[in-house]
Amino acid sequence: MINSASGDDLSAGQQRILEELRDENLVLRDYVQTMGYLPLAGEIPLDSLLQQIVETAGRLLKARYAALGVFDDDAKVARFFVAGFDAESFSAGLPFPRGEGLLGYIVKERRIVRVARIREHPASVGFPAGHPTMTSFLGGPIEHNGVIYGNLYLTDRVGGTEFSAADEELLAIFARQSAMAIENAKRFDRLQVERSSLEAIFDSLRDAVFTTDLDDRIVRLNRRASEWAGGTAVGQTVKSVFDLVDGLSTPISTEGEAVTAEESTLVLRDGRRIPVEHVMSPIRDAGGRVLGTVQVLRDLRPQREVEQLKANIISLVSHELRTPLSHIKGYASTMLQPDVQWDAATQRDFIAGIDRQADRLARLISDLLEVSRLDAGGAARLDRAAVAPQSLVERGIRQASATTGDRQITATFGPDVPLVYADPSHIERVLTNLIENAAKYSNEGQPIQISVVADGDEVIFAVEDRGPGLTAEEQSHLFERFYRSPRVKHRTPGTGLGLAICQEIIHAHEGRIWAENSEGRGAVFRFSLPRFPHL
Amino acid sequence: MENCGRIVVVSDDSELGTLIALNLRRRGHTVAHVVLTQEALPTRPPPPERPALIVLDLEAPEGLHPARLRSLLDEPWASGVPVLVAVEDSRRLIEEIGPSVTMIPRADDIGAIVAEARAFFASADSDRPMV
Repeated sequence: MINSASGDDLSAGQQRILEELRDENLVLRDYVQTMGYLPLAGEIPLDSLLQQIVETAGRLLKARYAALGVFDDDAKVARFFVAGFDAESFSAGLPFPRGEGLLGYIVKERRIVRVARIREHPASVGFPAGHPTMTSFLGGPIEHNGVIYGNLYLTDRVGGTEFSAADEELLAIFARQSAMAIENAKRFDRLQVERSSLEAIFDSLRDAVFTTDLDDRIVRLNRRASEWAGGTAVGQTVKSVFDLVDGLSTPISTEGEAVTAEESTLVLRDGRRIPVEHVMSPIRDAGGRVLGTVQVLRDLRPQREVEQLKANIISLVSHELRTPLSHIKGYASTMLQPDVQWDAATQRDFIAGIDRQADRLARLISDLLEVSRLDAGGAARLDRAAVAPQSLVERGIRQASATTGDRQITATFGPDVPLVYADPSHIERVLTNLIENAAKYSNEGQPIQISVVADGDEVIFAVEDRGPGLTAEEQSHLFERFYRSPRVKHRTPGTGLGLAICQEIIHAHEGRIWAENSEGRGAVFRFSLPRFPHL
Repeated sequence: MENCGRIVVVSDDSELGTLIALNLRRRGHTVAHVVLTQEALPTRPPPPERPALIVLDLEAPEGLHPARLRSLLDEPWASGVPVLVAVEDSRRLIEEIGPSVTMIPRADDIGAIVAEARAFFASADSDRPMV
């Protein structure tokens, strides 16, 4: 029979035993609770978990002081978590174990050490200044599957007694559980990082990517897919969210092969039509069962733009090659007609025409080669020297004379225009291009004005015409390769390479080039070159 | 004796059009030259008399809106006149301007244009549609 007794009926000894049993009961409850959640502690941030481990260890093992040294990848203590210490004084004053004293001994030995008096252990080297006085000690590694995550150090068992064999056994179990919890937490941290990286990649894709379940309902979608969906999409069917013409239809076959529709059109809610490649792949579980799909709507617009640009370039270059050839062939075949005789002057005109068109052809080929050279880093091999702007302008005008004919070209130079640091042959080409451009886009008889002025460390060259000027669209694209203004591209020959070449040459000289409408009428192209000496 | 009828050369390249016109004139034809541009049709006044044949020489047909060409060929002096097309790839153009044309594939060969024009005028009935 069991008698119940109130506290008043117990002797002092029995009272003490009862209190001890209550304490033990609390400790065991704490232990059971802690052991229950530690291995599953994946969702707790790692630092919080480590702090919980050291505090729980201190409580469980009735240690006045508890410390947890966490190892880095080289098995050296990288961080400390403590309980029982004054945290501020600890972080301010106490050094990490250096592997010389008792703590270092545990790091090396990788086993539990239990001593009644720290100072008496052979490995003890005493305490640093300001360290609390400690007597009993229990410490050991936090280890699981051969991996040591750190060491637990417990000192000064409460009540003045030393740590027992039972404490040592409890520490071994607790350390193992803690190691598993740390492993889980680290794994969770890694998963979080991976997940966050994948989400960043997922969201940064230019293509729309989304996943579905087997009922064709959208589960997740990236930023582009959300943008194209134009509203709530999660939980909706693919068909209700994405209006795909000639796209794939779900459900995906149970064989779950990836399928692709190369030519689909996505019609957005605002009516825009986007050419897309629709790719659908299965998502499987570990047993190979199809759970849903991941679908990609690959935006084909950039590819189409490149294809269009390529087609335009081929068309432009072939036209620019064909036209002078047509002229040459026309003049030659006219002269060779057996039934017609041409007088000497007419024949000379024909030959001059052939000569002119051959020059045009040579110029085109030269432009294409120059672009190829510039792409290969040719501009970096400039042969630069101190050059007088006057001589550059004179040579540019002379070179352009075949195009400018009798047109009036005037050149003015500001006061004290210094020498420039430039490759004369390249700058001559820039000036020739700009002068020919001015002649090409203004009417016959209209003058071309060239001016050169000093401006700080630079010398500014300007070529000005009296043509129709530039539209805003032209100004923003003028220096792009193969750009031809819609206003002139069908009536004025050209490849759209001249100004692009000018820009690359000037940039290679660390200069600037730009175009604007002149104050009167027409356009003015300016470029800068560094003055000599070049710093 | 060759029938040297009136011809209008319509060209998007002034220099080539002039050369074609020169060749045809040397064969006795009366030739007017119209330069075709994107902006204005035509850039010169239309010929005062209706021609027997239009020679259409286009170096850059892709740059010419078909409606502009159609409107040119619908003008009173050109309407219904057979058109001899000298274009590299004339399929799209023929679809746009109708079937009453004949195509000279060698666009850069003035000799071929002259020969086709000669064949046209040598035929007994110059009003027959050329397809």
